[in-house]
Amino acid sequence: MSVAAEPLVYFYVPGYKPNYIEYAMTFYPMNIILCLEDGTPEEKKLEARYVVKNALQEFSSDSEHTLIVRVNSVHTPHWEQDLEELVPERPARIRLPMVRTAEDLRQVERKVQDVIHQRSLNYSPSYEVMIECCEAIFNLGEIHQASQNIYAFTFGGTDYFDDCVAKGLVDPALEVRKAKQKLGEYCRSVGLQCFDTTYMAYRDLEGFREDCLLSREYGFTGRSVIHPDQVAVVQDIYGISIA
Amino acid sequence: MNVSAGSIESSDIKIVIEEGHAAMQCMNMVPELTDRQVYEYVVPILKQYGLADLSPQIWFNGANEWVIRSRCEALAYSLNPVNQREGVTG
Repeated sequence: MSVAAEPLVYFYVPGYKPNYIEYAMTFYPMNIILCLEDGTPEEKKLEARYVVKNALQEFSSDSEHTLIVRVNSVHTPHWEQDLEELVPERPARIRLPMVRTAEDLRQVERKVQDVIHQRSLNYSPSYEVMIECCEAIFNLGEIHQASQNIYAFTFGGTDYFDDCVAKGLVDPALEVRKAKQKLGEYCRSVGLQCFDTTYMAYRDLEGFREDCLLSREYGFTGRSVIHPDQVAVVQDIYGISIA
Repeated sequence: MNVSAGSIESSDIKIVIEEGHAAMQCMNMVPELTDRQVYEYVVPILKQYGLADLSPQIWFNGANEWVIRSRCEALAYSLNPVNQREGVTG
C-alpha cells in the first residue's frame, strides 16, 4: 500500500545531480523539491533542466513522493525555458523563487497557461510562492490576489537577510524574524499553508528544533530541509497543531 | 562546437563531443559490467538523439537510462544552432 507524503517536510535536491535525486526517491513518503535555482550552479542550469524533466517522467508513477520543481526566478534569463520544458511533465507543484510583486506571479501564470494551451495539456498548476525580499512582504496581499493557484507561501531566509543587508537595515536578523512573523500571521489569517526556510547548520539539531518551535508559533505549517537528519525534527514539531 | 554534459560521479555518465575527434570512445567505470555491455546499453540511446555519429567520448559510471536520456537531451539541445543562447559544460 502506498502512502502519500504529508505536507510538512520539503526536501531540497539539486537538480543537476541525478544520483542525489535517485537517493531521495528511496526516502519514505516525502515532498521532494527538484531545485533548478540556488541548488544548481549557473553553468549547470541547462543540463539540470533536462535531468529534472527526465526525472519527472521516470518517477511519474511514484505515488509516495510528491515532486515539486523549483524553477529559476522571473528575474533571471532561465525561467521561461524552465517552464517550457517542465510544465508538460506536470509537476505536482511549481515553487517560484523571488516573487517580488503581483506582476511577477502574473508573468509566470501567463507563461504556464501559454504552455498548457500550446501543448493541449490536462494540467492545473499549483504554486508555492517564495517570499524572499522586503518588497515581497510589503506586497504580500497583492501577490496573494494575483493567482487562484497558490498552494502555499514559503520563506527564503538567506535572500531576505541579504536584501536587508543590501538596503542597509541596522539589524537584518531582526528584520528576518519580523518578516517571518508577518508572513506566518498572514497565512494563518487566510488559511494558507506556509513553509519556513532551510536551516543551513544541519548538524545543529538542537538549534534547528528551537528555530522550528518559534517558526510554528509564527504560523508556519511545514519546512524545507537540506539534510535527512532534519526530517524527524520537522515531522515532530510541525506535525502537532498548536491551534 | 565542443560540448559536454554530465559527470563521472556514480550513477552518472559524462559525454563530451569535440570537433576533430576521430571516433567514439567509451570508458567503462563499472567493474561489474563488460565494455561490450556498456556499449550496447548506451549507444542505442545516443543514436536516438543523433549523437552517435558525432564521435562522442563517454565516461560511464552506472547511469540509469533516464539519466543517459537527460544528458543526451541537453547535448542535442545545445548542438541545435537555434539554441545557442545557453551552453552546456561538463
